[in-house]
Amino acid sequence: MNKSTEGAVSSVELVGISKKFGDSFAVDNISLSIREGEFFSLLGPSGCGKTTTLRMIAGFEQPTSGQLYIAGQPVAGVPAFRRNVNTVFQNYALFPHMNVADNVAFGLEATHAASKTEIASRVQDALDLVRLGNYGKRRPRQLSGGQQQRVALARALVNRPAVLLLDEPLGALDQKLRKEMQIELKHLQSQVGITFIFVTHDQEEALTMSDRIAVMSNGKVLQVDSPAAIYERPNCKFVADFIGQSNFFAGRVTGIDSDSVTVAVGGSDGGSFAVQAPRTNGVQAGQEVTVAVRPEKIGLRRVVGSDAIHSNGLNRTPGRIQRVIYMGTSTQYVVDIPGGSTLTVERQNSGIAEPNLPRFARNTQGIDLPGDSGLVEHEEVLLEWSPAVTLLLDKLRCHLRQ
Amino acid sequence: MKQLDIKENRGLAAWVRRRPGVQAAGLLLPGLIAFGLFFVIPLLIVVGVSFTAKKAGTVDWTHWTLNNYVSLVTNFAGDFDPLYLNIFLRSLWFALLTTVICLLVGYPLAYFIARRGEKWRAALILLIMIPFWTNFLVRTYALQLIFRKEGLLNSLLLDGHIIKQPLDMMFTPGLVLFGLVYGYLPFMVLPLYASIEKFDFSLLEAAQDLGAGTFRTLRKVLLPLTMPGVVAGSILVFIPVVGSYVTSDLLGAQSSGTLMVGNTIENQFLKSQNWPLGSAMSLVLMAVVLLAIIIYFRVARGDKEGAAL
Repeated sequence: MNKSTEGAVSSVELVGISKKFGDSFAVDNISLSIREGEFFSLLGPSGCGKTTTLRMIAGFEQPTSGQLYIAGQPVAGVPAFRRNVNTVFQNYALFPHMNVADNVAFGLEATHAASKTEIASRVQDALDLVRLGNYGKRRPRQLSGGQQQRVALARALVNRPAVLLLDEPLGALDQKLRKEMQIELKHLQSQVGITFIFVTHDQEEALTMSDRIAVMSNGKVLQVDSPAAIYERPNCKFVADFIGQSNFFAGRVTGIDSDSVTVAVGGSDGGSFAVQAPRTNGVQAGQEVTVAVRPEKIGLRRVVGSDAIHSNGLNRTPGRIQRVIYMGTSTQYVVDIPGGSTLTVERQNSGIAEPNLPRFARNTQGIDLPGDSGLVEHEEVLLEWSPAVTLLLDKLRCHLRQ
Repeated sequence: MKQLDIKENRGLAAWVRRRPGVQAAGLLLPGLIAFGLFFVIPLLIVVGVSFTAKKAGTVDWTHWTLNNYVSLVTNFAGDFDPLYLNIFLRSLWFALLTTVICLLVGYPLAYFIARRGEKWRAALILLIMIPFWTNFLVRTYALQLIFRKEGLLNSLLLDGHIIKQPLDMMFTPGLVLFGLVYGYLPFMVLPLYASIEKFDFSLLEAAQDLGAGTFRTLRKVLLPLTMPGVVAGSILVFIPVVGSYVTSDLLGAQSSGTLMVGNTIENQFLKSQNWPLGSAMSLVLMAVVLLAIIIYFRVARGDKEGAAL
């Protein structure tokens, strides 16, 4: 069997894979096609089935149903030690009674893959690759968390597997080290050209490193796409909410144009306003929909006098700043809008965001709007965003089991 | 503040507090007294007795001799006699076999228990320990009831038409060995369990993930990392079995091929009334066991390069 997807060879292919523990599905009928040499992430909250999926690929769990192919070969019933995949475990699982070099050599010795001298040189190469060339004689417990992590990587990569599986490998590292390792991992992957399947619950990590991401929830795959597509065009509310931050409005479709849709959002008791969004397939007038917009896509400006609201084709609503949260690179504004809901707006601090400074400081980032710096709490503002960045989400498209 | 200083510098307690050596000695004293009273002095008495001449039922402290040690390897005529040597060797052989069998049975058992859920583990460990609540002698008699000619096992086998003639199992070396394994298995299982329970089982997956089959995973990962349990369990079984005498007495009845050094020592003290010879045997046994343990530690340490401890 040699299925190919979009011209590329599938390194790992899951066809209708399910895994039941007792009565509940940990993994529920998922199909994925992971390409050769791809950095592929399984992203989702804990308990979404991502680790179970990884363990089925590794051979530690057998699927309840469905077919699994590694490098085109069906692997049902093939035990873990005969699969040409290696895993970097969450807790690294280094052998504490062996030194670093023996840990790394373990796989080559177990499979009798090479002669003794060749093993020694490959182990040294692998340790050099993760910049631990001089640490061969140390015990794992004498190393820091980041170093242990790199030993685990070397121990897996030295076997030249078809696929490397990584189970939240950066979870135990502190923030700064994690950022470094993210870059290092990505670099390493392009160096060795091995398919990486990376499990994480950290969306930022997945966005930073992946070629493609599969977002999982409740044992199902919701969306498989490039990081940019996942972020800019989430296909359902869960994805829009889990990846980054989103403002959601419940609304009803009131008009459909050739390329845009008008949605009335907000409560029926006044405060309702119209929002334009790009037209999506299958949308119908009168349909209940969810409209989403990212906080950083919304422009913010001070209401000056009577403020002529000239139609510039933007979605717009008045509001009143409830809270200003300074976050270093950006500032978050929590804004009350008519109808009783709140919107979160995030603006880059490209100007001077210090609220006590005079108003000459301007933010020229993003949509061309009058300055949004120096805004303070309780100020009346106008919120504006382009219809192009407005997402029309149909809850049904996620097939989430509630 | 001043008052406090004065108070602290007076009295015996303060005097002791200023002298750490005296303080340490004081704290050690109860332990030293107990150790001396219950271990050192009795041992010295046995050493002393082993060098006295035989006097039925008591000790003649006036005549000193090396004869007791010489007679361990000679007969009355002064020629070499392997009688006692054979008994010593048999005891060591039985102890070694018992230890190995306990290890082979106990390791999978301890592993099985350690991999159960928390509730099950507690229940199963309790089951292992419950036999301790019954007297060892009583349990050994129970084995007699099971294995004798008219015993439970034979009647079951006869009723089931598996055998036609009752099996003669009593007073055989095999039954003694069985009794020893039965009696000392918990001493093997408990330390093994303690060390397997601490084992990080994700290492097994790591080994398999790297291409190691079951046997290699056991030999290279599980066994080295649970070696402390293996060492402790083996010592806890080997030492008492070398000197044991109840099992071989009740299940072997001192028939040829089952007599152990423990029985011989018991005979010297209770039947032959030869306390000096019994003492000499005890001390030689101690020395042999000590030697065996030292060798064992050397070998075990060599195996794992001192890593697991």
